Amino acid sequence: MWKRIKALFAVKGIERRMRVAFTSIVLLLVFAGATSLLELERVSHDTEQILVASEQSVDVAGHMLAALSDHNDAIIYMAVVGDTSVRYREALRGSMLQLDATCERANELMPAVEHDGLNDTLAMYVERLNTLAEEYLEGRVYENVIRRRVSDSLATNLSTRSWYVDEYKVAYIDLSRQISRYMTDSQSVLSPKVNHLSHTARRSVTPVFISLLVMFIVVMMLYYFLKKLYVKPILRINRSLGDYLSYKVPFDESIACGDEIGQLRDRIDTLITKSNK
Amino acid sequence: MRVHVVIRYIGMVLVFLAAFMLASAGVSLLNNHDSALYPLLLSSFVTAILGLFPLIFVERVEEIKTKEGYAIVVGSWLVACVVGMFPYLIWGGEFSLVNAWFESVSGFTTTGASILNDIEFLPRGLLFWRSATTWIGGIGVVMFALVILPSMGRSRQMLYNVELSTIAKDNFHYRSREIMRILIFVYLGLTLATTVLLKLSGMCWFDAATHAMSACGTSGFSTKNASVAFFDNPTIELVMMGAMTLSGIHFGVLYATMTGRRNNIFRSEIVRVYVGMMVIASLIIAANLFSDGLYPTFVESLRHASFQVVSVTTTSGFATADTNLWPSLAIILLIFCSVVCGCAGSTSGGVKVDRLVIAAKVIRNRVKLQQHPTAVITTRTDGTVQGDNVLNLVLTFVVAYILLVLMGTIVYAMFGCDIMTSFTASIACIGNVGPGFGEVGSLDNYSELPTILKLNSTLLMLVGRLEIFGFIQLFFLRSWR
Repeated sequence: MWKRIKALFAVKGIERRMRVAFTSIVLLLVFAGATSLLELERVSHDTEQILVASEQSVDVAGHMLAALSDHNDAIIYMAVVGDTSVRYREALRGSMLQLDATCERANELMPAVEHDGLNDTLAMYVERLNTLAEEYLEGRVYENVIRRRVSDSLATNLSTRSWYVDEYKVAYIDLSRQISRYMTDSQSVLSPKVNHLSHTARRSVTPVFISLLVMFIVVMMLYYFLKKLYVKPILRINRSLGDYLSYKVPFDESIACGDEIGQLRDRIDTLITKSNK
Repeated sequence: MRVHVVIRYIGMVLVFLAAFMLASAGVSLLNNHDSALYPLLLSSFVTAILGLFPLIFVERVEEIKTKEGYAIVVGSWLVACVVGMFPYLIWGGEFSLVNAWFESVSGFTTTGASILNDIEFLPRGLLFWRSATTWIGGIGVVMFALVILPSMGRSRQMLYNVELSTIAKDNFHYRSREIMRILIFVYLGLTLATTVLLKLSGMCWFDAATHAMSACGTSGFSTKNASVAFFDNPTIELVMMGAMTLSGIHFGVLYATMTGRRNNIFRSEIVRVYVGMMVIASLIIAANLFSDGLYPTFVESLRHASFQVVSVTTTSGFATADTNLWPSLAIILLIFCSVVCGCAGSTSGGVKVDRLVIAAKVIRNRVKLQQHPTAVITTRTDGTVQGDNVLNLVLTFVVAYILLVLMGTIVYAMFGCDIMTSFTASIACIGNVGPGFGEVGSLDNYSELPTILKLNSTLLMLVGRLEIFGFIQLFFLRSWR
């Protein structure tokens, strides 16, 4: 491979210049193409990441809300309606696990550094709700409430229903608010990323634009050099030779270059000198 | 004019710039592949192709003509400014097209003005490139082209005549080839010495190298938002002051001093005026600051006053204090220093002390001639009699400079700048000083200026760097036939 590349540039003079010139243009073209492909790939990758992040956060929030709803339903059936069958106990346990899992997933999706305190608060509220449910399942509701409201005159009227209203419902509302906040915040976290993407998308065109600009200048230079260093001298030699052949005007073309054009001029000169002898 | 010859020489400058971009990419690589690596590599590649192309086609020439020399100098500067903005543009951040152009021109003309609000946010590779542009600009893009130029002899001298002012050329008493060696020796030596001293004073190697490049190029680009004030270190300030002062002296005189020749800095009248001017200005400003109660002690006042005076006189533009808060007398003296600036044959811009001395002597001689109309009075600088041609050139330059400052001021004012900002920004850009007063103060930047004024500033920088006439001549090349 290397030998082939070396052979490509082994020739000298005009041929080498032409090869180098066109190789430069091809290189710039390939470079511009490759850069644009890479940049497009990068933009596409960034866009995909943003979309995936958005979908995932909405999905997690949806699952969390569903688990919360199941949690609430099970508690209502047990604490308010009074149906403490195994079915609801299992549903409650399932929703507790589901809440924990989705909360963990939410933490993974939205790193704590990006939104101060949101993840901690969410985990705290989930834990609070699950602790209440756990207390209920373990039958510690009465003890706890009595202990907390020992001076309350209504302590004797305590029932699971009032526990639901006073304790559970408050925690439930807090958590649902927190999930709503998570939903909105997770979307607002993506906003600067989208802005950055729109910014980099514009920037990604810059290298391609610069490559094309340089290529345009190179092509213009190539045109100028071809015209100035090759086409014009050949035309001058041709005209001068024509004048010599037609009118015997002395062939006198002064071209100061050491490449094939200069050699051509010298050889024509030699030929004329020999033919005159 | 042989355009292809001009293009060939400009191509050499581009290859040199590509090498510096690659070096900056190396810095980027050393700093955990920071975000400047990709922009610098891309820029290096396209710049190298652009520069190598004419080298392949155009054969070397032994001799270049005067107008070709001018075209090469001005062309090299303009093309360097254009390719110099590639890394900024590709990197992005605060660099829009106009901002990248401004930063690039400011670097290559060694002005040191910036549009960046948060310099420290820039990756190290890009910061190094930013300082490198000022370093390259300091010695002159053309100078580098000539160093690597295989063809020797007249072509070098021809280009160099354009690069330095007429007065600076007269001060050189060496052959053209020797001039190149002197400049490289002095410039490289000064930069290396400053780097080592700054490192010893407490900077890290990166900051030391970038600040040394900026100080020796008299540009004032810093890697910190608060410039040299960030370090709050008197030793660093002292080293910087030394480097800036030396960079503001004719390099030939510096070389003569180092090699023990006769025309050294201790004998030079110009250097005496240059140093004397800075000492007097520093003392007056320090007294003014101390009497106004801006600093608790006279020593503290002198520390800040002397640094700002040296920074402005050498057209560097580094800052250790917000000079906008200084009293009127201090401001006026700093403006005066930023008009006069350093010596010819150095990397500083402005009117230059040499011209000030000659202009003052011409005025003195005029007064003498009025008293003694038949007297024959010659004007000498450093013992050399200056001919009428030189005197005319000096006076023409001073008048052109003043006119340009006024025109620049009008343009700034037209687009809503206050008189202080307009006047000082105009002086700071033409003199390649960098900071002025008002909105473009020592700890401020040019980011708030409208686009048209940023472009106006870059034009003034280029005109000032190319000694006004060097730039204007470009538009009259056809008439030289």
